Amino acid sequence: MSDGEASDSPIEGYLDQLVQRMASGPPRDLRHLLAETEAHLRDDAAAAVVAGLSPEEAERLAVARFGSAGDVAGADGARMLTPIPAVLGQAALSALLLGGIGALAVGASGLVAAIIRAVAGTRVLVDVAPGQNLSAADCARWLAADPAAHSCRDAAVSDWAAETVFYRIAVGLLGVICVVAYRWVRRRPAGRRGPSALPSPVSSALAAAIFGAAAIWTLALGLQDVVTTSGHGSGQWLSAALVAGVAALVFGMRLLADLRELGPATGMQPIGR
Amino acid sequence: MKLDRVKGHLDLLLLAVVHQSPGHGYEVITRLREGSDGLLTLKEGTVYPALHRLEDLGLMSSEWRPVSGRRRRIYRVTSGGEQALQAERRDWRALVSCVDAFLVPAASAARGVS
Repeated sequence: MSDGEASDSPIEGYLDQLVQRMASGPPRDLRHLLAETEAHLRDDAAAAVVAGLSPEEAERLAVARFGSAGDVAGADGARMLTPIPAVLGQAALSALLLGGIGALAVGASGLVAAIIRAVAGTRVLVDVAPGQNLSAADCARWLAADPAAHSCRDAAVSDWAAETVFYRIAVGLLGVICVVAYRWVRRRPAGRRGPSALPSPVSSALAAAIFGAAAIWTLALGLQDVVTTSGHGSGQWLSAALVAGVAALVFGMRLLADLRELGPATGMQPIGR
Repeated sequence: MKLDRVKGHLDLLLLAVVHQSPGHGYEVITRLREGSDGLLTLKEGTVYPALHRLEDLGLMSSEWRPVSGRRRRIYRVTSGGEQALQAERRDWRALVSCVDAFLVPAASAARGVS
């Protein structure tokens, strides 16, 4: 059969209509539905020819039995719509993942803070703010915990620096638990689609925006300390700014890659697929 | 048979037919038509979205295989689908029994239903 004849046949015309009706759906679903539809129509038409109809009549009968392209596309499109409970589930799953990644970033900033403390000294990491009063009760507690300290200020800074590193790393461990929990929830039972998170571009945009804002905010606080206190106490902010900046860059690049991959009028794939 | 009545039970029918033997969409539709002596007539194109939906739900799985020189998507019922089919069968029998009690006088009398 020539191309001209094929494009005029009822089956070819029907498949063209189906493509037009399904143009906004995921490409793979469209390809699969088209392949199934064409195979079905050709089998049905072949059976009708065997029964005595002409090829043209047989194709028309097969198309008529199959139903309108609009009905078929509508039924398959309705299947792909995401109901509200599923969207809420996706949002919760994305929050678990993004929260976990955020906590991991805090943990990483704790490691950076530890390095700053070791390399540049405790007071670059944290310091007593100008004009800040340290109460006698607090001084007694800090000095009791650090008998080698020369002053209340030294003891306080040592305590704060240890807390900054310890708590951030503890939050990082919490992030590991969140990411493991996310992977566990997303596990795919045999023969079944696992629950999905929000589409990757949405998650990437959210993460890039949150990490970007955090990077700018903490960088501003760190630079303020550099200007006003000769860098004393700036390490706690700059360590966070460094990690948040790297995370924002990674998610920003991922967002660009997602958008390039999507192209115009195609469906989105959930993050982590 | 009215189309709406078939539509309401299409998932159950598809599960039952594919459970008897895995097959592609055209086979499934042909079995439905022939097994009902032509009573079950529906727009054939609506069967495919229903099969896809059952796959999304994990009640069926599918794989592409060449059949008679054409690539076909073969559907089979999963273990989850078998459980769902058993539950649906129980519900269906209970419904038929309940409706029969009102629609079939002889059956009702035998059971003592007024």
